[in-house]
Amino acid sequence: MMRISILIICLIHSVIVFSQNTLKGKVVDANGMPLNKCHIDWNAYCATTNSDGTFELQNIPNGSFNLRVKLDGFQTQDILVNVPETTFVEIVLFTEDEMLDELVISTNQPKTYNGISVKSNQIKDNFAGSLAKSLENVAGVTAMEIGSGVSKPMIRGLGFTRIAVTENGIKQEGQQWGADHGLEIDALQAEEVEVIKGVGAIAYGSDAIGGVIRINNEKIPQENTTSGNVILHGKTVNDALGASVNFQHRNENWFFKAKFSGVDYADFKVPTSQVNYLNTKIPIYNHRMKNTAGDEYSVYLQGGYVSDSFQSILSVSNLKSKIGFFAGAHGIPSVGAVADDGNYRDVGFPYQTVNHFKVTSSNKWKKPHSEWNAIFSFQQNHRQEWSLFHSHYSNQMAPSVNPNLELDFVLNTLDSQVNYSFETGLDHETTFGIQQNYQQNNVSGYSYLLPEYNRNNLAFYANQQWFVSSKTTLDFGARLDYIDMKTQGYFDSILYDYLISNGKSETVAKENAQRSSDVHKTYLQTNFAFGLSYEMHSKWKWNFNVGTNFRAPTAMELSANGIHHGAFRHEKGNPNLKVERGVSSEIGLTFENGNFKSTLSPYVYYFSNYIFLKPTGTFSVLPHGGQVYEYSQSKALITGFEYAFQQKWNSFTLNATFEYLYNKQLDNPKGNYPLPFSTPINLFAELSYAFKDSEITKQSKVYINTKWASAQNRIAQNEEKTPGYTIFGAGLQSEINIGKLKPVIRLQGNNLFNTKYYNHASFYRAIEIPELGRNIQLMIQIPF
Amino acid sequence: MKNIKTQLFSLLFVSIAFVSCSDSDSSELDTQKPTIAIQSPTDHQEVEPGSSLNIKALLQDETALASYKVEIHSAGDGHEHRTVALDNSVPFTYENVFQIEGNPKSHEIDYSISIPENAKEDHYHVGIFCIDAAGNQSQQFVEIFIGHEHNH
Repeated sequence: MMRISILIICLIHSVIVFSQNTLKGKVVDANGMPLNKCHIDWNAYCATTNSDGTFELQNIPNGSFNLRVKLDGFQTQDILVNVPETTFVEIVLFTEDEMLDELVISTNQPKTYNGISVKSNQIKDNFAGSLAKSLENVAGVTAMEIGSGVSKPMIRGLGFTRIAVTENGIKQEGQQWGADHGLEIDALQAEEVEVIKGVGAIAYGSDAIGGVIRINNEKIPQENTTSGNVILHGKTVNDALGASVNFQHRNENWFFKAKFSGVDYADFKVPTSQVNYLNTKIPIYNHRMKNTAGDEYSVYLQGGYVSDSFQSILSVSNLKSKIGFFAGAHGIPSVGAVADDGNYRDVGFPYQTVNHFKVTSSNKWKKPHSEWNAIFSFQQNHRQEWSLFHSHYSNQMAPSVNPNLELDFVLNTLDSQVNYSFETGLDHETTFGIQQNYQQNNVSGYSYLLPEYNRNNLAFYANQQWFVSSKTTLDFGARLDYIDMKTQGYFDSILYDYLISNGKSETVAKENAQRSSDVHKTYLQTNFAFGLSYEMHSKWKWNFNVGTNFRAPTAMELSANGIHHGAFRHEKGNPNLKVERGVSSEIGLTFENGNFKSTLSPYVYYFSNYIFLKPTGTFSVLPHGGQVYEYSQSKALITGFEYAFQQKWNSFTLNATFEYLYNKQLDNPKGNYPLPFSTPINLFAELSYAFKDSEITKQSKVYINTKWASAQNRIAQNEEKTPGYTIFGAGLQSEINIGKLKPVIRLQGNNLFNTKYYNHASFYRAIEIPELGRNIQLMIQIPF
Repeated sequence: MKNIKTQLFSLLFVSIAFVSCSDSDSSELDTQKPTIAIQSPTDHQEVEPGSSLNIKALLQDETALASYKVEIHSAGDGHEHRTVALDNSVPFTYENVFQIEGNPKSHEIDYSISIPENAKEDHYHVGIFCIDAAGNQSQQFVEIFIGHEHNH
């Protein structure tokens, strides 16, 4: 990068020729402040900077060599030094944030994988309620929405348990397997996010097929600083009002962070007065989706100790939310349930509540050339669905306690990870790791959906990075996983009696009343990955990687049997499912030339046994059940590319991302259908104009943007085709100086023309509910 | 420079190889759902216990119909009009699956179901589910009231 090379200043002094030389230097930060305790490396020689930022390397031979400068929290810097011509160097280190400042679409250093870093400010710039929605402008990412406040991310049409979301190195567990369950992470509290597209199986194991969304909330504040933020936000589409406060303090070795967020929103607005669900016209009064209001509150506390050789961080977080479901299309169409009650903010039946609690302790022992990491975490995801007691079986009575609690899931997860990484010379970095993940799922409620299960996953992995030259990096990884999965059978005697009383045979009654069976499976999996990054030319960089991936079948896929009330479908598990396996490969090609940057990433995923729901053509005997869908496996292919570019002309910047995705099954005897939730071809473009700083405004910009998506006619069986759309948005943002306060104001408008359109990947798509109407959103961030 | 060009071209070639897939398959794939037009009963129709209910509907598919299911269940999903049985009436349920012989493109359902005298007064959903030969499914519901008008 041009900027950095300019800022590395080498001062050349007069030369006195000795065979043994001394190199002196100084390391400073972007503000010119000396940096203490930086580690300077040159092959076997090394030094550490003093408190004034200076260092000295003695007795070094003649030659031209690479000097590496490292400091925690800063970007590692390599510079080429000629000895004895150079005797003094001054090196400027940038924090990772500063490095990323100007970068929106490409990575700042050659990585062997396709990673896109998103800073917390960019999340705020694109804030759209949930984290997944706020990341939607990242090429390749789509948000699967559940109303206006919740969504789950998808990468290249792969979602649910086919991508991994991690926070501080620990996989976020939730009720990923269901369409109406979101991701329980507060977007405004995320300090840094990296979207890794492509396989992450080596470091993250099962599920990291489509990619990994890595959230880092362990950024260590600078020494002796106190800072914080108050954020207030509101939007018109669902009358959301929210506030977020965060505070952090560090003295020399100890630091503390506290973050609180809350948002409350009303029924969201759609540009339609009626929806058509299963051929029933359901009225939408005052363009409001009845009972889609909700709220979300979260607390995040973190304390840590940091020293040169050891650091330990303890984080405790809790997120609680309540979200209404649109009552008109929850199961059978219901016109009566959508009548306007004059209150848009209340949440009535049916609704869900979620509480996600998490404690993480992460510890690091550091030496200049090696590092031990140990992370331990416990998380509990407690999700409940409340719906006024109803039963399709006339012999079922409401429970005496919590009669309206339909489903209650408690998922407890314990994670332990230890890894050791060390450098051999300047050009090899090796990591060995061991991970254990234990999961236990308990269920209750008057309905039955998801089996109880215990799952234990033990893994070993090794990774080797070889910096072959300053232009080439190679990466090899291998991983071994052992998974033990036990699902608990459940016999529904009410259903059995009901079926018998309706004249069904005992065999049929037993088969259907067995809502899940005892399944005990063990899987042993090996995975390999290879990555390569190469700087072909100062303007052209590319990386290539190929790796295997896998996903252990879920409890639902193995043993469930019955009507999935949300999907309104009789789903039957299959205990004979094998581990879903595949190979994926991709290329990231980056071109940067002055004011133009672009990245092209073609990819291909091949699954040897992709798990899907196969329509059997046989009717279910259960009330309101259509045909039975059975979990099956087939070969499948996903391929496509993303293209992102940025062009600057003086104060104007144009950013655009284009996505193309194609997928299909390869050996389904019924026909090679596309996979569900395929992202349609789409384009996002944003033109912004940056104003010059004035006395009262800084970093001001205005922008207009558009999103276009083609129609999606390539659908899986029993999906709906989705028409294409074009929507427009605009916004402005500025940092304003009013005395001591320097609030950042962000005003944005989405779907400005109130266009009625559908998102193919939305939970509400299946029930024919359009996307949000026009929205004006204001966010005021006041740093202190 | 020449070397770079060669590399770029090979990359481009690989990229194209990555994404170029013939889309010849989609024409043969059947994702078109059958259609159901329920003519009887009509939505909110009232039915006297002891009478017979006529089920009349037209099923159509662009390729081949396979089977259908007719079912009647209590609509008591709690949102409104919950009635309490004061007598010895029982909730009425009905369910029947029919294969459509010869896989036609169109099929008319027309038959009657007798509603027992002791059917519990309630709102009921009449549902018709239809599957075509490829496994595409559609369903449609109407809500009826079984009981005497004065109790509605």
